[in-house]
Amino acid sequence: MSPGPQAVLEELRRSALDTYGEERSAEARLQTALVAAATAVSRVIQEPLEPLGNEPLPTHG
Amino acid sequence: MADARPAVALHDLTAAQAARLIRSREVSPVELVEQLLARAARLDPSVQAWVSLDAERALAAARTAEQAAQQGVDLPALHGVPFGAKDIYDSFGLRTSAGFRPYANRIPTTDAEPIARLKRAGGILLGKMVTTQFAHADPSRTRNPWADDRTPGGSSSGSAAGVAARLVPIALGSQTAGSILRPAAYNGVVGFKPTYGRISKRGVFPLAWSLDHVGLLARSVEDCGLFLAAVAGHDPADPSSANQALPLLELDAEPPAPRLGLVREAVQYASPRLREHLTAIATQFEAAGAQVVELSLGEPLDLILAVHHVIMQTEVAAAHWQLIEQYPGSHEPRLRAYVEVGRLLPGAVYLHALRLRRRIRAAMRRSMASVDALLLPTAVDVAPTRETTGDPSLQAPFSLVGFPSLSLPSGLTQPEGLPLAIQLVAAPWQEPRLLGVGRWCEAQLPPMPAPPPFA
Repeated sequence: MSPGPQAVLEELRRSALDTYGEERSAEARLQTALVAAATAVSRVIQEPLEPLGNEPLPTHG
Repeated sequence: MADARPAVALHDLTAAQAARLIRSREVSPVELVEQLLARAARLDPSVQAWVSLDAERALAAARTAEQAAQQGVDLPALHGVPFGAKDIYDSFGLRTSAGFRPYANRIPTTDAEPIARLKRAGGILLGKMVTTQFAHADPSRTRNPWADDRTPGGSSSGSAAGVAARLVPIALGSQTAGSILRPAAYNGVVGFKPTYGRISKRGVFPLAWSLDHVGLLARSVEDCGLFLAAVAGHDPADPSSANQALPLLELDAEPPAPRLGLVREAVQYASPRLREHLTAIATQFEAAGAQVVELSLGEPLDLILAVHHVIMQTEVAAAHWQLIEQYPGSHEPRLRAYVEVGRLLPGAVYLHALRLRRRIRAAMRRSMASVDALLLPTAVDVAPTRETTGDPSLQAPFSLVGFPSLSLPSGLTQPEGLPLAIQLVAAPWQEPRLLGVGRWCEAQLPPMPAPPPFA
């Protein structure tokens, strides 16, 4: 089962802390962006797709 | 020049009207450019739509255009017509900074391809128009000419406000989520985003490669057709440019009453005020002969917006993180945070989103197969206050799938007098149909006046 928004957010927050440090990752703008991204990522990964089907190249075509 | 004066003030002319009057020698391109420059000097301090004006070169081009008009030679479609360009389009010899301080003195040696094509069609570049930084979401300095406390929208804020304030008849914009159509709606002008790949983006700063579209802010649908005919066409030097011929645009023929699909999800998502407005418009269109049916986009709106978010944020991060490291402290706060978070998103999620996009695109095509165009509100509500550039939720779905979309001003709120707008969307490569539907709808709607302080 795919993780929900809260689990995705916690993972992203850990990643932000490792990458940008405590001070930067605590800033309000970054926290807002993390919450929005977690909501979107969680929704995307919950949507099933045929796992092994052929796919065209990931272009817009 | 002939003595006959047009019934409309020069600054009120649409691009098509100006082109006709220049061709018939009833309007001098020099006089037109001079008037718009004088108007900018008088009014732009309150609108702040222009980054820079290229007065000397514009006047020189206007004098050349006037000579050609007097000689009566075959003239291209936009001969002598001034236009503006969002400041993410490279412009030969004219500063192009994308709202980014380290690029304050960046002067390109070539024109972006859409500017070059507009010039070849006779257009005169009047100057560069304010953009939010790199066409992202941090508000710009531009003011909404309808209400000073409201946002003009973004990211094509200068282009939309400048066209609304009659500082220029048409202006190039760009859209990655909703950056053409939403400012068009908030400023009471027409916004047009052709199919992804229809117009070359060579020389235009990228934000998110697979979502970025070139398009236009104008005051009539006819102008959108003139623009499209001038700039469409394959550019082998732009990997995103499609090799698709543009069918004939019949801008003079009377368009038939269209079959319209009222988008259920968008109506539900809109504010009560916009919902009521759209319902009234749909009823009016039906009374005038249109067929209006309710339909769905074929996939949930929250999924469509999530897929757009993941693709856009990942691509913006890939395009911009090196600049953030190269020029620390130079990015606006929203853009910086967006890029920093975008760098953390897993590649597998981005690829999953790309696969979902193909499914969403197919579902939307099926949903709209029986109509000429979708009908929905352009924006969720009227322009909000200036802390934001507004909500892109009703424009982003069509940036995601690359379908052509058009925003038409459709009225004013009472008593505030803020612009309202409807959005039309067609299947990919169906711009002739979309513009035909747009012209029919435009003819049913009340003409949009200039904002009172700029009339």
